Amino acid sequence: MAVENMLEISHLTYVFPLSGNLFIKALDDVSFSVRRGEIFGLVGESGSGKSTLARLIMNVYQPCSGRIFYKGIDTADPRAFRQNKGMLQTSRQFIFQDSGTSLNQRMKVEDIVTEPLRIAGRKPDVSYRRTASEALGQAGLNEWYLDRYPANLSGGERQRVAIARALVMEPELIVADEPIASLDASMQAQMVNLFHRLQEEREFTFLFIAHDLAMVKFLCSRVGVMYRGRLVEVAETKELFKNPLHAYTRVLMASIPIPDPRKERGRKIPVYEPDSEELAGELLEAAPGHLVRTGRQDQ
Amino acid sequence: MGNILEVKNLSVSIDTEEGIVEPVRDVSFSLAEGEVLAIVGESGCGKSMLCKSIMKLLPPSARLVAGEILVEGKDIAGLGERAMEKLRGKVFSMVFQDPGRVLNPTMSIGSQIAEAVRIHAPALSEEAVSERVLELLNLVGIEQGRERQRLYPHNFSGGMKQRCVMAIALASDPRVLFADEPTTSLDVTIQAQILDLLSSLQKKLRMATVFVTHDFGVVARVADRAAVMYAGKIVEIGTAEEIFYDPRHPYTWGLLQSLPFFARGKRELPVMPGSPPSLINPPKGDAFACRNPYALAIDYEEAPPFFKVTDTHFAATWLLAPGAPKISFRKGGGFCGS
Repeated sequence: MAVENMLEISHLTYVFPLSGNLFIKALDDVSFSVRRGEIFGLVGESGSGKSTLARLIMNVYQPCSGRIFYKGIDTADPRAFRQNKGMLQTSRQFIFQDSGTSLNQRMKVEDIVTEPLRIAGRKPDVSYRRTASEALGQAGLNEWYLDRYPANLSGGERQRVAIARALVMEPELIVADEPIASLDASMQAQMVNLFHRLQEEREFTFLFIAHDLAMVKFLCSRVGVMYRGRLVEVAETKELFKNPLHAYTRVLMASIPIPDPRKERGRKIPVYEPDSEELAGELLEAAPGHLVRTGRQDQ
Repeated sequence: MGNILEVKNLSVSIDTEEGIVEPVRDVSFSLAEGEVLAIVGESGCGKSMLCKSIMKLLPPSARLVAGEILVEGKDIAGLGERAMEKLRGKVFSMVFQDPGRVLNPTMSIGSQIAEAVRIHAPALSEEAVSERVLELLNLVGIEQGRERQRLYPHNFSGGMKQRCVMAIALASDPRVLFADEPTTSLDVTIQAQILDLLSSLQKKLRMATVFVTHDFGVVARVADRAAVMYAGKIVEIGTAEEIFYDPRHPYTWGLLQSLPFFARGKRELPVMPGSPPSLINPPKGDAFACRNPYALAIDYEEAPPFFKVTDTHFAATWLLAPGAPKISFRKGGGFCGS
């Protein structure tokens, strides 16, 4: 099988059971693919299923139906997963939203960064400390941080430690679930530049999940827009921003406040009222590489 | 239009094990009736601490070192906890960043709002209280209040929870509302709705609002005036137009140029290096000097005073002193000197 696509997701559905007959369809028939070496952005409001999707891709949850191919291996199939477990768990890395809770408070930064190596049983070339310091260096932190605890660091610094921990395994795929959402604007800009640079140097494939379209526009080469568990539009970033086809995408774009008081004041921000037809439809190709979910034939 | 709130040379310090932290240093500003003042800056610059100092919601180890807080001309800086309790709610109210943590998960929305109503008006009858609760729910745009007041916070989404928090904050008709990053934890679409709600409430009730945020887009939407804070000090204050179209402080330049909005077609976002200094023993001179590409020698020696740009626009940077090099700023284009 050709591995042009790093990640191929087809007809993925995931349901969270509540009590009795109640359940929440967190993901409903999601299909898309991520090409090798690209930065793919996934946007949508909270509750649209972005994090669930990320967790399914990383085998945290087992899908109810559908397939996830990582380099041609169906990771949703327990048998295929077991056979390739070592490779899957080292070559894919996850960066979480809240670095305050995803880093062990009782471990020093050095141990946090090298823990994945120890788990995978990889011996460093010189020493663990040296490897940790190199990984931190790439994430923009110096050696001083090796002996700190997460509580001593600011939000931006902690997120850099989380990035270093992911980088130390030299992954081929990094899935980052809202890695900048908890940071303030100037720190977000620093992080986005860092991602950009690292991706260029290391050429890993990057799935970037965010609700901030402005940053996605800057960082990603392709973007998928999610709404209520469904993927409603997928396109190249430029194409999507020039020519958004789905009503929800347009509302999402219009909701970003413009940092210009004269333009921003009095601007009416539309509210998206879902139209059952629009959501029930299928994801169809409207232009080359531009997929949109539509129920109508005329779009 | 009189000033409802005037803060003069306010300084606050907190004793900690590592030393004395000075989260608010010599801050002065005024707030007119019905006005929205945005306070902008990175995290750790003392924005929230400034609001909490005015409301005196500080930890016991904190002290008001100097300054006056005038509410309609009366100084409240020296008031004790009992007197402050009367002012909170009646004069001040606050909306916090994370609505999930503010609401009590074991009480229904209606009874939490009713609690706030009762505290401020103990004489009110039960019927009047429940009527007021419905009125407040309606005010913050929660439809079907009669049914929904029986629901619990976990039944509500983030945006709806924030509306409930606002209903609680508005229960006592405050004159000044402190909104501490009320939309930071919300999505852009919900953020837009909450901001519009705030603006409409603010016009309807004619309250003055202090709006803490780090998002310049939000400032542009809601603020009449904006104050930029760095390391516990206000470094620039002016009308929203002045801050956006004619910023004078290099820190404001740095914040504006790191916005992705102004970086179209660029490979890298222009960023400010580093992060704000620790407020334990703040550096001598201008705290921003070490991150400022235009720092002058004097910046490392002496903190700059406020220089007047217009009657409403002030900035604390030595670049505005007579004889300083002239540097102009272009949005998204970084800096250019001459």
